[in-house]
Amino acid sequence: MFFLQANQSGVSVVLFLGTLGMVVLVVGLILFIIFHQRKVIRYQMKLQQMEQEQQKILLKASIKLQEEERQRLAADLHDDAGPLLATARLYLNENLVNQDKATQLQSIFQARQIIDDTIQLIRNISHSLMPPTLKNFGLESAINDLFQKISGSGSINASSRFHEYKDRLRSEKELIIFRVVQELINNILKHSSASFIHLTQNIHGDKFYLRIHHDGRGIVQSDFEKLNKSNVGLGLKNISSRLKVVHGNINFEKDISQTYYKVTIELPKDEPYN
Amino acid sequence: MIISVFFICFQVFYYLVIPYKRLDTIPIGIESILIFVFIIYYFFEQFKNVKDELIYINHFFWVAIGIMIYLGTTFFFNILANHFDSQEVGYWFISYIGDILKNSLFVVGMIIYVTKRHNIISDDNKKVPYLDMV
Repeated sequence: MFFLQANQSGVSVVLFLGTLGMVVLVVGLILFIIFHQRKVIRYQMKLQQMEQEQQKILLKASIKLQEEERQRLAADLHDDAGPLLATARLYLNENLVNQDKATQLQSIFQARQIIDDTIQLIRNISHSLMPPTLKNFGLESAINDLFQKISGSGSINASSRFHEYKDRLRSEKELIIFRVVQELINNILKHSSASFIHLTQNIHGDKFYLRIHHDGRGIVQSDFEKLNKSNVGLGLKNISSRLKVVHGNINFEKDISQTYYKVTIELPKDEPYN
Repeated sequence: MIISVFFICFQVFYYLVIPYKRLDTIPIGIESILIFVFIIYYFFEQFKNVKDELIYINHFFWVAIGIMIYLGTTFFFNILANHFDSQEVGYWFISYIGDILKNSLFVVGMIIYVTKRHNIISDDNKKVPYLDMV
């Protein structure tokens, strides 16, 4: 407090300089507040924009997938079921009544065989849309079933193990998880050249976890994020959009031993299925 | 809140105990610092819930900076007031400048408040009227 002992001119200098300093400080503070807030708003808007773009990509991916699924269904019905039914119709034409009994029986038998094949085909199409095991027995059975089928092919060793799945998740959630697992397995089979796939399930706290291990070529989280933002990797985008619906997360990583890849799906556990 | 209560107690104590001078420089100084702190805290709170709206669209911003500018310009004047000669009372103009700036910023705040209110009322008028058949 040197100015208390200072002379009058000193007091005047302190007064002017101090006031000037305070004004500069206050103006500086105001400018800082304004510019900082503008910067924060700009940053938030950029984030919002990025999020919107991401949503748009996911939406496009899901629409594209839906269209592809419809095309596949149309192709299955048109190319498989159509010709089968047309052939059956040929066997059962009006001339059949003019044929001898043995030929009639032969034609009816052939037509029946073709109709049976068509029924089987339609059943397969229907099962690919909604697996009956999933609907009737739940996620655990559906995944076990899927893994058994894969293992049964003999080309890859696939196994799954559910540690804690006494209370089923809601059916919509189960279907979404099943589709995600199907897509992941499909990717592994298509791209990784793995010799084994192993799936484990567990619950920790209020979270439901599924982890898939495989020893083939895989991707890590940064690759997944990169593919998710690019125009390729439709399946991965679909996984993201499906998991978003159930507020889930997915994490791709390489094991510490660097021998296999891990894909972990995490989602909130909901109330037990009734 | 606690700081404000302490300050009021201090003011009462100062009023009762310390003999009267030209200006209560110490309480004014402490008060100024406290108001500065409160305003900075207010801005800090504003930053925590940033909306899309710019801060200077808010009338409180202009009131707050009006107070800050006034306190900034008069802070040293108030603190040193008791050390001036009688001739130096002419320095009151510093306080007047602060006062004019503060009032101008308050006016800006008021204009913004009135304009905003007017816009809200006109938005209400734009609502679709009742068009169903009676």
